[in-house]
Amino acid sequence: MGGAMEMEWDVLKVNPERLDEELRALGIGAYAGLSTGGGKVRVHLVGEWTKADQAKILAAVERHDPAEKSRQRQAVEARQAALAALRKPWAGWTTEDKDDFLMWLAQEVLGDEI
Amino acid sequence: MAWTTPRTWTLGELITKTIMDTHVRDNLLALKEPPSDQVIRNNLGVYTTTSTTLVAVDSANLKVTLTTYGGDVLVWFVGTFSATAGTVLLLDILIDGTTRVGAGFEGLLAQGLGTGKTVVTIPPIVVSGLAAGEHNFVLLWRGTGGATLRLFSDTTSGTAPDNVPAILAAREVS
Repeated sequence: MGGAMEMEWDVLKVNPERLDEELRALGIGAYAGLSTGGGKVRVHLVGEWTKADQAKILAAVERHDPAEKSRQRQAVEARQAALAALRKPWAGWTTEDKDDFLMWLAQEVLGDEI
Repeated sequence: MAWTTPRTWTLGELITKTIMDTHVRDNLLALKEPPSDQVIRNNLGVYTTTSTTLVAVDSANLKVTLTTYGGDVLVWFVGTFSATAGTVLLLDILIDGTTRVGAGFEGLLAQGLGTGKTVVTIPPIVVSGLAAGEHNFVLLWRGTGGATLRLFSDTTSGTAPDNVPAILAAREVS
């Protein structure tokens, strides 16, 4: 089967970043993303997809736990925690602290390129 | 009030109340109150999408419908968005579920977003060539790289910058 189609559920609570990560991890080429709003979750498929793809998506949506943080959120929180740990007088900084800070600074400037 | 194509008068014609009501009064009323619709949407929560193809934000609720007389229609939108830094938002408007206003382009407009709030406006755009009858207009959006886009529309939020509507409007203008 093929073409653009939407799968839709009435779901009040969803963590869109986490569910998107879970759906992308299925490796379905037709998966184009998901949308939330109006009390609904819609999964967008574009191109070639199969009934088996739909079944995998359905299972992933049913498994989804909105309380679970996305990897992106976890990374943000880890960064915030690491930076918070560096808020101390310069005299207390170890060599590892300086290396960590340089790495965070480089990531801030260069993004995912490092 | 219905619009009637103005009468072509004939020499020596007797002007009656019926003619004056139809061709003067009713047409002036139609010009004063043209077909118009506006949604000031409260979603009671944020809209999100990770879609990399244009999809409706909310085809049931963020949609305006007009019954036109066959003239041009102005359509416009304003909303408050955010996303991961470096994400680009594309917006468009779908007419009657089939035709994008920005057909031939990736979208009507593109706007870079970050984690702070950004107000994005589709200014009034003239849509021509619509036949007389009912027409609907739906907002479409997409992002880049699978990032999560947010459109704020939530009167329940205690955070002031989230507590704003998404507004879509259309009006026949000729």
